[in-house]
Order: sequence, then C-alpha cells, then structure tokens
Amino acid sequence: MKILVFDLNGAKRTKLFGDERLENLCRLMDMGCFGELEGNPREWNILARHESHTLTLGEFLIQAGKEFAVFDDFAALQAKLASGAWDCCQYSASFSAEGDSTDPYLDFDLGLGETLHYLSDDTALVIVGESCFVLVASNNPITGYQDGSTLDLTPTILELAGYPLPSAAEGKSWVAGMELNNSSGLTEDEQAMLRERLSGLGYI
Amino acid sequence: MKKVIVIGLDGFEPKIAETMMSRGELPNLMKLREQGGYSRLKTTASAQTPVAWSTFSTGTNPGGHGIFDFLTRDTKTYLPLMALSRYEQKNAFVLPKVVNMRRGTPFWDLLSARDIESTILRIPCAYPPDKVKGRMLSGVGVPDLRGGFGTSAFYTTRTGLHVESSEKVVNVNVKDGKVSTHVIGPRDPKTRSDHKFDIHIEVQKTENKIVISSQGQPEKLEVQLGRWSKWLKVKFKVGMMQSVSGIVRFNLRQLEPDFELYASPVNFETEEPLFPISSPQEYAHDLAMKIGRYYTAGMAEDHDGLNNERFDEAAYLDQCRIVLRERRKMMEFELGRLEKGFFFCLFDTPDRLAHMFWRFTEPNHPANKGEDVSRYARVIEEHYRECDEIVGEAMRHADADTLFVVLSDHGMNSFQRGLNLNTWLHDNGFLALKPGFKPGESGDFFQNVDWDRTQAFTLGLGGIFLNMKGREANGIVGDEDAEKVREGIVSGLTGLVDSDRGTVAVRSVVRREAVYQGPYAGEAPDLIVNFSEGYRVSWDTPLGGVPQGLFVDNTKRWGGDHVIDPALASGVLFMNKKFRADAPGLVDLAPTILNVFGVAKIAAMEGSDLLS
Amino acid sequence: MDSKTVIVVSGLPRSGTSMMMKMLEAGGLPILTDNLREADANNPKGYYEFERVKQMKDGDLAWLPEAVGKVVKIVTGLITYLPSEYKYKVIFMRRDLNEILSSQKKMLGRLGREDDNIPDDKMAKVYEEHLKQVRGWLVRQPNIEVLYVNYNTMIADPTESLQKINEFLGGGMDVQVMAGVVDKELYRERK
Repeated sequence: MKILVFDLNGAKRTKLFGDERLENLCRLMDMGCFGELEGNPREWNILARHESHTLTLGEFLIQAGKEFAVFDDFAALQAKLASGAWDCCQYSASFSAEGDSTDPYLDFDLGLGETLHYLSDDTALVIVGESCFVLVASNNPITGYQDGSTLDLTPTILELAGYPLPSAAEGKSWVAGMELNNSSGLTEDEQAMLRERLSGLGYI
Repeated sequence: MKKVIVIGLDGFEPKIAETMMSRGELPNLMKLREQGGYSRLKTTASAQTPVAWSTFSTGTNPGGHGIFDFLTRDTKTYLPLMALSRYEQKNAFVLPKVVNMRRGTPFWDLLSARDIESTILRIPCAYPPDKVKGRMLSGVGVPDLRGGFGTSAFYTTRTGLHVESSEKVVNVNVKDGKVSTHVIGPRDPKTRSDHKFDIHIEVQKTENKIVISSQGQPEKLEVQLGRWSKWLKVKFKVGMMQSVSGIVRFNLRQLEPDFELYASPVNFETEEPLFPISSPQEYAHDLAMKIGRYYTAGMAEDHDGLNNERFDEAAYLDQCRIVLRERRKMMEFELGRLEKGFFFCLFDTPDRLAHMFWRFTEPNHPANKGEDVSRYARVIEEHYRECDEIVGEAMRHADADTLFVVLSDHGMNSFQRGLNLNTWLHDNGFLALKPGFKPGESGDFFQNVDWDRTQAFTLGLGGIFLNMKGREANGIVGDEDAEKVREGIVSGLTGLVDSDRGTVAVRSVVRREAVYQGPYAGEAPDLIVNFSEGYRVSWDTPLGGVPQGLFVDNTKRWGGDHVIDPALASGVLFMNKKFRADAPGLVDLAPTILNVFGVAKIAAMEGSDLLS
Repeated sequence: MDSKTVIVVSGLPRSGTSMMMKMLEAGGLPILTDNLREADANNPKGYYEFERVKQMKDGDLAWLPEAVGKVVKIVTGLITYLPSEYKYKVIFMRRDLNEILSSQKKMLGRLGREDDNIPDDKMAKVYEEHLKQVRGWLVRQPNIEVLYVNYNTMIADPTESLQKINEFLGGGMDVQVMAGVVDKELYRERK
C-alpha cells in the first residue's frame, strides 16, 4: 500500500477535530480512526532509537527501497500523486499559534479535499496534528476513537501498508494480531442489497 | 409564439382516452382535439418510461441517448445494473458522484444556450438534473434514502411474516399501549447495518389513532387508522458529524388484534438531499417552501406496498391522490409565474395507478382469484377524468401565443401471462446451467448458470444479450457465430405460442440494428422481444432467474403493463395547434418545440417539426 | 479561568468520580450538588450528585449558568448532552474495567439488588464501546478540554496526578490537602 502523510506541526486538536466546516477532515474521521496521542508530539515518526541514530518513518521506507518525497505545497504534491509514480509522500506544514487572518485550517481542508482526488484505494492516509491523528486505510479494522502513544502511530501505518516491522520498533502497532479488512466478491448480503436497489420498480 | 406548455401523462392509454371521448367525456382533451388535433404517438423500443421520455428529451432513438431499459447488465459479472444513473467514485477517499446515463443532447440544452428559460418538473432520467437555464426537478431515477427505487417498512406484532421484495418487516411489541421502534435509514457500508431513527408510538385505541413521538419534525405526529399521515422529517446520524435527513409517511393499517403500521420509503428531504435532485440545487427546497413537502423519490407511488398486500386498494388510491395533489400544486405554482419559455410537468400517476387497477377491468385476470372486481372497475376512467381536469387547469395558462401539448410516453395494456424467457433460452440450447442443475433450481442473478456454455441470456424487460467473446467476461460467441445465434433465437421465438391458451405470445424478435442507431447503440441488448397484448417477461426474469416452465399466470396485483410490442403501446398526443397527424412519434417533439422558439434542431435529432 | 467555564468530573460509575469531587472540594473549588443522594456504605463521603443533570437529555439546561466556575459530576452516559455554548474542563476518571465491574457488583449487592447475570466479559465490551463513543465525541468538541486521570495511578501516587490536575485547572489549589483525601480505605476493593 502507498502511504500519504500530512504532518501538521502545531495543528490543534480542538481546531482539527472540532470544526464542522472542515468537511473533508470530518469525512475522513468517519471513515477511519482518530484520536489523541500521548508523548512528545514531534516524535510521532520515530520508529526506533539506536545509540547513535534514530530511525524515522522516512528513513525506514528509503531503506526498504521506496521513494519518500516531502512537499510543502499542495500543487507539487498533487502533481506527484497524479503521476502515479510514488510510494510514500509527506506533506508538511506549520500551524502558528494564533492571529492569522485567513483560517489556515480551512485552507488545509480545501487542499486536502483536492488532493484526495489524486489517490487510489490502496493508500494508507494519515494526518498528524499536535498530539492527535486521523488514520484511513481500506484494510484498517479500527474505526472511531483510538488512543495510544505517539510512538504507536508509525508502526500501525507500516503494518497497514504491509511492511514488516523491525524488531527494534519502539511503539506497538494497534492492529497487531487483528484481522485486516480485505474486500471479497459479492456476498449474499450484497446480493440482497442489489436486489433491494433494483426492486421497487414494480417490474421485479 | 413565446410559450410552450407540455403536460406529460405517463402511460395514458389511447384506447381508453378514445373510448371516453367518444362518449363525450374528457372535455378538456376533446377541446384540444378540436382546436389543434389528436393522434396516437409512436413510442420507443422498448415501451418503457425511462426509454421513452429520454427520446422525448433528446429527439433521438435510444441508440442516441443510451437508455434501453430500466436495467442493463454488468459485462464483468453478468449482474443486473441500474441503467439510468450510476454512482462513480474516483477512489475510496472522495464522495461518490451520481452520473446520469441518459446521454445525447436534451432540447432544453439548446434552449438554454439561446437564453430561453425552461421549467421542467419531474422529468425522468435526469438524475442528477441537467443544468438548465430556469429550473428542473428530477423525476423517475431519483432513489429513496437507501439508494433503491423504494424500500418501505412494515411494523407488526405478527411474527413469521414473509418478507416480500423491497420492504423491511419490523417486529414490534405493544406494551402498555406503547411501541418503541425506529425508522430504517440508509445502510452503513462499513458495519452493514441500517442507520436508525428512534420513534415512540402511543396507541390510542378508543380514538383509533396513534401518536408518533420523535426528535423529528413534527415532534408529535398523529396517524389515524386507515389514513396516510403527514410527512415526518427524520434525521439519521451516519457519522459522528455527518447526518442525512429524509421524509416519511405512515399508514396505520390495524390496531387489533395485531398492530400493523406501514411506513413509506424514506424520501430525500429537499433542504439537503444526499445527491442533487434539482437545478439549481436549491430549487427543490424553494419549491417545498412554497407548496409544502412533497415526494422526491422517482417512484412516488407506493405500488409495492399494494403488491405486497401491506395495504389495500383504497389506501393506494388515497396515496395516488396525495401524489397527484402535490404534483398539481407544483404545476399550478409554476404556471402561475410562467411568462415565457418552455414548461413541462409530468404526472406519473396515470401509469402507476393503471398498473395496479388494470386487473379490475378484466374479470378473467388471473390476479383476481375470484375477487369481486366491480368495485374498482371504473377507477382508471375516473382517474383519466381527474387528469382531464388537470389539463383544463393548465390550459387556462395557454394564450394564443402558446403551444399547448398533452402527451403520454406509452400506453397501457393487460398483463395476464409471463414468459420465463431465460428458461426458453435454456430449453432451446442457448443458455446452460451447471451440470446437475435444472430450471427452477437456479435463483436470481443467474445463479448456477454455466457461462462457458451459454450463448445468450436475458435480464430486464425483454432484451436478450449474446454472451460475446471479448465483451462479456466469459463470452463464448465469436463475431463469426453471432448472427447464427441471433437467427436461431429470432426464428425459434417469433410466433411462440402459449400452449395453455393457444395464443401467440411473441409477435416478433428484432435485431438491435433494426431499431437502434447512434453512438450508444452498441450498449443495447442484441435482440428485443416484442410481446403480444397480455404478455410480458415473467416476474422472475428481470433479475436473471431461470424458473421451471415457460409460461406463468401473473397473479400479482400489478396486473397491467405496457412492455409489449411498441406498435401496440403507442401513447397519445394532443396539441392546441393543427399538426401533421401522419404517425407522429416521440422523436418529433424536440424539433417541434425548438422550432417554436426559432432554435434549429441538431443533426442527432431524427424527427421533424409537427407544426410545419 | 474563563468566565464561562464549567468544571466537569466524569467517568463510568465506580471509577472514582465521587472521590475526585471530594478532592476538588478539599482543594477549594465550589461544588454544584444537591446532596439528594446521601452518603452510604458504597460512597462513605457522599455521592456529590446534582440531580438535574439527568434531565439534560430532556432539554433541561437552565441550571448551567449556576454551574459556571463550579465543579459538577456528570456520568459518561450524559456528558454528550452538554450544550456547545459553554466551555468545559473535563476531568475524566479511568479505572481498570475489571475493577469497575467487581465494584459495581458489590454495590448492587449492598443495595440488595439482584445481579443482572450479564457475564463480565460481555459487560466489559459494552463499556469499552461506550467509552470509545464518548471519548470520540469529547475529542471532537472544540469547547471541551479533557484531562484523563487514572484512578489506580492516583491511588498509588496522588501527588503526581494532583499536580497535573492543578495545572489543568489553572493552579492555585492546595495539593497537599487534596492528597489527604485519597483515603486508602476507599480502595478496599483492590484484590
């Protein structure tokens, strides 16, 4: 699975999660899981700490032979996504504390909404604010509220995206040991749904 | 001329209208006939509402607009698909978009381009609505909140009730005169369970009524025994911050010994419909503010409630009247402010009512099962009189500068016998079941059909598809063999006799190129079966069933139909100006209306101006 | 503190909410309570309940102006009815679910009520789902700040938890006096 990260440095939980006008964000929250993270908010992308150096999400992916591209504007990110030739992208932005005349959260939601059109279903998408996150992936078995340590987020993303976790990983994937959702053919339930959809015409 | 007013009467049958006029009835239509003229109107192959009205809109045969039936097939899975519109979702992260499968250029696009306003009410196959200059309210094709054509709910204390098609049965308990239950909303694709809206019912036996309390609008809704309630606006929470609203009506069937309550399919609410149902988008709600809430679902009449015997004919008639009254209010409101431009309003009720009451005009209809039919034998004619009144009302808005048109898309006929068309294909070697299976042992959706040995199959209302190599997922018929297969079916099926009755059931089978031309002709069924009067494909056929036996009695209350040989299913055309009555067809309306406004038709439009 | 802020203590029944109320009272905060439910063997120091919060779901919110600047106990089942016009600081008590369940059973026993015979693991699932819903709701409210306090941790080391609480509520409370309230006797159900 591809990985797309929105790293929103300093973005407040009360703004990201609490504003109904952020339609795209609200929809993603309903699709996946979201919650609060305990620990140092800037350490969410740390996978493992060794004596001499720290292994981050980006470094891990590069070591796995993947491209890890970082963007700070939506146009460039969208161009990359549109090319189809990408494995992992990160969009980084800083949210200042107060005082901006335009609402940066609304602008972000707008950019996010446009960006979503360039994705394919096989993408694990994560939005990280200050001590909070939203995570959407088609195979994610967790919905709704989820809390945990900052360090758990990256292992969870990697597991959903199908990467084997290094043994030195500091955090623990929330979906470890859970059965991931994988779509199948037309079930009986879906047949019933199809029948319902087509009935009511009077002809069936 | 500066105005064109078109009143559509869906399924208005010429033979009935002509008989009534010969008796001096239907005074307004007779007046139109005298002023301008009357003719039968050639319908489309096949004679179905979405196909025919799409031809009216675009002026082309179905090959030019791509609607051939209510249903089509998914070439990948052989499953039936809604043919009128599709939901497209670029990926799982974005909202689905509804896409209209009626293509071609409707004539109001040409009017809009010339800055001429249109007001178009309840046109079929415009979901999502066309962007017109003026306003448009979508008709047939708009689903209910669950995404289908209409799923109702039946609340009962009786247990073990058989659940019929397009309904949910909710078992309830009455405790101390109270029932706690819920309205069923859209399904959650993630949890596969239904979203629910809680309602609390207080039974007031002595007053023969119930009071429904909820957090909807109104908070308390009274429902009298045997009557339709007013609308209840309900809200389903579909996510933590997302909700969808809908409107629902109830009909209280019985308080004792068993409690029985019917709830209509939940219609889109106009303020924030799930998908657009009008253009401009706020028009549907503006209209509701003027005339009150109204049915928004394409299939407004609850014919399935009657077909499933959840309520009786009297209740269905009441409901048809409510729909008719709403529609009439819409028409009157818009005609009242119409100064110039094009106006269209479709009344679906003549079709939906005749489907359900036709059997009462035929004492020998198998659906009557010995029932006394005299009580409802005149219902269709009475309804035609009401339609005539509506025409009279609309005519008051037509001056000398107005072209005034009344038309129907197709007629109505008897439906006494059904043909199991897939079974015929099976018996004649065109469709194979997996080893060990016989007809009758295969359910809907072509269950147990052996595609590797199947040359042809049918779904929908009379179209036959070949299992073509390179087109269908498991296609086996190569281009070189296609004509041989088609010839085999045409010769075998043409003139097919219903041996129980000794009558010819199939008048002809036509190859698609004989009736369809244009950019979308390749999407059509390869063959179209033209049934005789009284016949249709059986109930088991449209969704891909292969039942036992060829012919079956139609014992459902839906006892009239029109999906027969189009030559037998013409509609009506009345105009207040003299017109060429040499076999006019639905294709001729677009050029005629365009010409009134001095707008040239485009090349794809096949008909010609009836006024020239 | 903001002039429109209400302090709320919430959590599942038997998660330590009454004790938290008592501590905040000891720390000098005014409490909104009607003392309708008197102290008993289950909660020797009283329940600190305010009866009218139960009517929030029927739309009775008239008491809220009175609650501004005070502490009110609202169980998790009712907290989502809090109107968005006010600001809230919520101290949310967490406690091991098995302990909560066994404490609830004992309480029912003392009240002379029959056990409902719902298996603990099933009940725990129901509570987990309920907490997930409530916390999912809380995290989406821009007007609500939440501090999660673990009952077990607080019993073990009151000072650290209380300092966090003091900080969360803007400071100025007497942490030492509050710590005195942690009556180890109350934790008699630990096995």
